[in-house]
Amino acid sequence: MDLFTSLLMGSAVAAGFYMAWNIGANDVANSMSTAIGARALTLKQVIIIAGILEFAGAVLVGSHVTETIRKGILDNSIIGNPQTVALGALSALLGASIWITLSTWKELPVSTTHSVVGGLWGFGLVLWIRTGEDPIQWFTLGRVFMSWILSPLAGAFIAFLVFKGITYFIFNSKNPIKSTRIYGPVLIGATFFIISTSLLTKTNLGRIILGEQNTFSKASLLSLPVFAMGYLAGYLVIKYKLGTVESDNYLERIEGMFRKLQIITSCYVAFAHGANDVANAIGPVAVVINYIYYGTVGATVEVSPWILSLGGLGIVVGISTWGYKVMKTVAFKITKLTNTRGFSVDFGAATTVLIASKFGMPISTTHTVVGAVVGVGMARGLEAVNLSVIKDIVYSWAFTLPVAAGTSAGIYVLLTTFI
Amino acid sequence: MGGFKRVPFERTVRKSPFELLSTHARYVTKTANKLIDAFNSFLSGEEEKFLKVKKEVETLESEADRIKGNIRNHLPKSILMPVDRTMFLMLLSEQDKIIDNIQDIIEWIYMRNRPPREEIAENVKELFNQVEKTVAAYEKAIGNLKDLIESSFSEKERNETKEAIWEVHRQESICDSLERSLTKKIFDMEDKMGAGEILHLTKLVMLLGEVANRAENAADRLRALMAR
Repeated sequence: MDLFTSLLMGSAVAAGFYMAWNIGANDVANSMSTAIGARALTLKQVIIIAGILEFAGAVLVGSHVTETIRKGILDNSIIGNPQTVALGALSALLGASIWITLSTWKELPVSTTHSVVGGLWGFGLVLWIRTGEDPIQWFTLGRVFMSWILSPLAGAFIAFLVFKGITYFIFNSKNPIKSTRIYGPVLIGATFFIISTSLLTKTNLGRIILGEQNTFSKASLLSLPVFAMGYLAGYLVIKYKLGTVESDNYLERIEGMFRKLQIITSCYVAFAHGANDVANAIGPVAVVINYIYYGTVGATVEVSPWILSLGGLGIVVGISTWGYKVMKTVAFKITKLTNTRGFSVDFGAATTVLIASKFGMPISTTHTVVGAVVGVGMARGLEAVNLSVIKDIVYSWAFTLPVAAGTSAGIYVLLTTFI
Repeated sequence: MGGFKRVPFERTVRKSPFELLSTHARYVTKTANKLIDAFNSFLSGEEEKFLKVKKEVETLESEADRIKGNIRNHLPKSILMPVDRTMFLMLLSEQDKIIDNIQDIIEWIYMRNRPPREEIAENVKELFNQVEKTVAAYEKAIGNLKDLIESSFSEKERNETKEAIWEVHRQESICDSLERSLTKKIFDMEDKMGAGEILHLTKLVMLLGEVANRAENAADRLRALMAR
């Protein structure tokens, strides 16, 4: 390996690891925040569960094949020149890393996913200027941008409905304990259904169980018996654990039931987060490595297990060096969420992430979680929700594309000038 | 830990202003409990003990004021609450006035620190006790707010809170009748009293009545707060 390729590989691996570190340091705190806020798990448990499940999600379910250009926002014709693509992927990754560092310093709620998309866009712009041919798929880019706006709204809407449903069917019923016994198993079944569907749709696990055509509809069909199993398990647990007498502490007992449910959803969120977000950090690394080893880059690129492990490891290192501190301040600063609220937020966010990944939309888990919190607030579920955070998120949308793109474009120009 | 984090969740879920409201309400009860101490030292003419109580009430009042300011400062317009924000702040302000009124009573006693004559001492004491009971009933009503929010304003919890608010009304109306009979008794004895004594006692009765009225008003604000 000559100096150029070693440098290329070294910087790609370093930047990929750094992005994964960032995901572990900040984004995990956001996706696990409801579990911390509702004290469904202790801080120590959250860190252990997040560490294991994020890693497992990244390595086991994290897609083993990555599209060379995430979500096809650039035309595949540019693949004709593999060196261009490799350098572009590296520039996008570096541009995204720099923007993430800047926004973390300024405490802006910026998404790692969005930053990588912005970086690729910037690389595309340089190509356009240099070759005169526009490689940017503007329609796709627009669709991706719309999904960023729609995902928090969807999270808010679903969380709102779930919490209103809990209020209407359980809290407001004549006998809330009896109602919990009726509707609790349905919610548990639905949670199992969502987890199972998302684990099977377009994943390696799905390929093993369902064969090559592991589509959403097939996965959801297979998840129906999982729903029934969840319902039955929930029915039995609630029957023997909840007790039958209507007494004073009925609120605590209902929350206790939802606490168990929330532990399941929190684990799922950690797993799904690892699976989805690791691609942002290591997708571009895979492209560069592929170029170095084979000299070519196809429309899709094999992601070897060691690259996935690199991403998973980066996330775990991020959690253990910085993430736990972030989570500690979150736990300290916010009011205790009750478990019915935590569950509504988790359910809203998880369902949205599932739907978005079905449509192949690179959305931000963090923004969706915040949207779901606002949704529960709208349903009169939370004591104080700070709406000014919405403004911050809108700013982050407005800035991420231009800044990450500009930085990435600059790096690409530098790289191609000196190489 | 200063910068270098981006956790919008932390910024979204704010510290609950309702917890601080309950803390403030606890100060109201604590101050009301001092009323009896003040009265006892007033009755026995122990000036030193009275001054100590007076000092304690001042400390409680300024502590409560600090909590009130803290709640207001952390409740900008961009905060979404399960109740109307303006109503919430009005409730807080009414609740705070209970403490101010109690302080007024202590100050008024201090202006003319001479114990009431024996014939009416029992009636005055009874009124002091009744005021304290009214405030206690109010704190109980406010205490329901926690369950009310936790159940997302369920019918059951609303009814319990309404019942607690009715209790404040009942206690206040007992206060009213005690006030009337005591005022009557004072004027029945006007020939035996000097102008200063009459003025001091009648105003004391009015001030005590005001504390109970404030508690009732604050309870009514709570009623408005939980309305859909």
